[in-house]
Amino acid sequence: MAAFMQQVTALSEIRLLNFLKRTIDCTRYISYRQVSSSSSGNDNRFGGHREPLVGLSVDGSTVICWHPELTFPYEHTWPVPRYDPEIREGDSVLRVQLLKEDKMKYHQTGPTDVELANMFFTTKHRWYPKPEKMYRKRNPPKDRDGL
Amino acid sequence: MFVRSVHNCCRVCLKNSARSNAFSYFIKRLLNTKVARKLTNEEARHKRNEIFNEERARQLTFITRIEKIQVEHKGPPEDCTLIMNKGLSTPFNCAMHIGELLMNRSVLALVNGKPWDMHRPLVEDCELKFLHMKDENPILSNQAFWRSCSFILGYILETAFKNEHYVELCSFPVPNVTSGSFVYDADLKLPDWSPSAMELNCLSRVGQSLRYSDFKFERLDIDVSVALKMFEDNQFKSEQIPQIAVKSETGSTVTVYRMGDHIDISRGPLMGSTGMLSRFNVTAVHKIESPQYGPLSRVQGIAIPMSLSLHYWTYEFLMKRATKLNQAPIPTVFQAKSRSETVDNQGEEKAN
Repeated sequence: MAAFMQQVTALSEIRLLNFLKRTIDCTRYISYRQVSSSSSGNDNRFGGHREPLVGLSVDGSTVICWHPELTFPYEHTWPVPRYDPEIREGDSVLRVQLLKEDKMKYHQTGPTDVELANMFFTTKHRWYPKPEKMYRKRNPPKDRDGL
Repeated sequence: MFVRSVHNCCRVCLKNSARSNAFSYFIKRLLNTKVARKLTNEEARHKRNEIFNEERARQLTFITRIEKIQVEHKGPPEDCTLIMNKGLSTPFNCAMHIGELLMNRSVLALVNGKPWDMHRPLVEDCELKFLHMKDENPILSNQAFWRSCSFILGYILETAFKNEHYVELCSFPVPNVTSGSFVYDADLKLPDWSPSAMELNCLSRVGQSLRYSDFKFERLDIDVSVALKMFEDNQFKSEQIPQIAVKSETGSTVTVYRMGDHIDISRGPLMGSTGMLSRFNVTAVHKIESPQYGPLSRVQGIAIPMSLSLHYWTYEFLMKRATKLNQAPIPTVFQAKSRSETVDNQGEEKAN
């Protein structure tokens, strides 16, 4: 049974329903129950078959369950709380440009390594920071007695 | 056919042809009212700038012949005499001849012992000295710096808010260093607004960015009628302007300054340019009540010049101190005569 259900979950829901229609003997339902009035209201993809069904295959060898994912009834939902500070920023009296600058204050300005590499036709490695350059010992030319 | 109304709040459907004539008339009326919409700060600034440019061009036409004046510079790097153009050359131009150090560090000039803006043209033979922040007695340059910072606060208030908020600047009091903050009193027309920490940071950032813009402060003496025309959109300034003019030397001039595209009345002197700012923070916005002008907002800030360095701990301590309500006199028409900076143009000796 479990192996059968695993097999059928690989199919899309509509194909599954068609498959069930072909295999289930609809006159021999074992149980029938309706969960929510509104959940099947607008969804016509399954021809109104949003309710869970349990039945036997035509030869009676397999018990088949039809239990599509139910939509949550809208009348039982609450609005999403608007606590996000980003949403409140839009209500600020200051110009949006200033707020944006504040948000981007720690962001590096200018092109990224990848953009630079594309710009100059190099690999990305050319643009990595090279701290050893900073600490390099100066090597000024010396006067040599031999020359 | 759908027509959106002016206020963007509803849609009017014109399916019925019998009603459409009446509706189109109604819509036309609505569109006509759109022309007389609210004035924005940006438009007012644009207008002020146009008048400023026109007036400066007019004043320049009075100089028909270039006359020479002798300017004797006293002080480091060496005493010298310069021959400059009368009514055109400024102390800054003199500094350009003498050395880069003076150009960068000078906040103010002393012309015949009188404080003089760096970008104000010289008008006669004179003795010239330059003042900077590390002088033995930096009172004059320090006050010019604080006054300029108040001026900059006005710029921030005019530019930082969205266009639908028309901010009217009122005045700023005489700089008082011991009070711990510089001040601008303005009518923000936002009775319920108190800035969050993030919004104060945003306001401060406008001031901080001025350092890189390096705007110079340009001075212009204009007639009352021009000043009234310039500030006709500002109820406070148009009330103050006649009082200022009466107290001036000629009895009918008002001094205005321009920084970038921001124009305001101040008796000056102000510092050379905004490149001298280093740290700048708007620290608090307090609500005050003026008997004549009604509810106003007192915006406070603190700043440090480029030539002085300060540990961040000390600076944060000063910032905390600058959040307290500044006890400077509340702007009123009568007090304004003797105390307020933007109103009292010529009372420098009395105030200091």
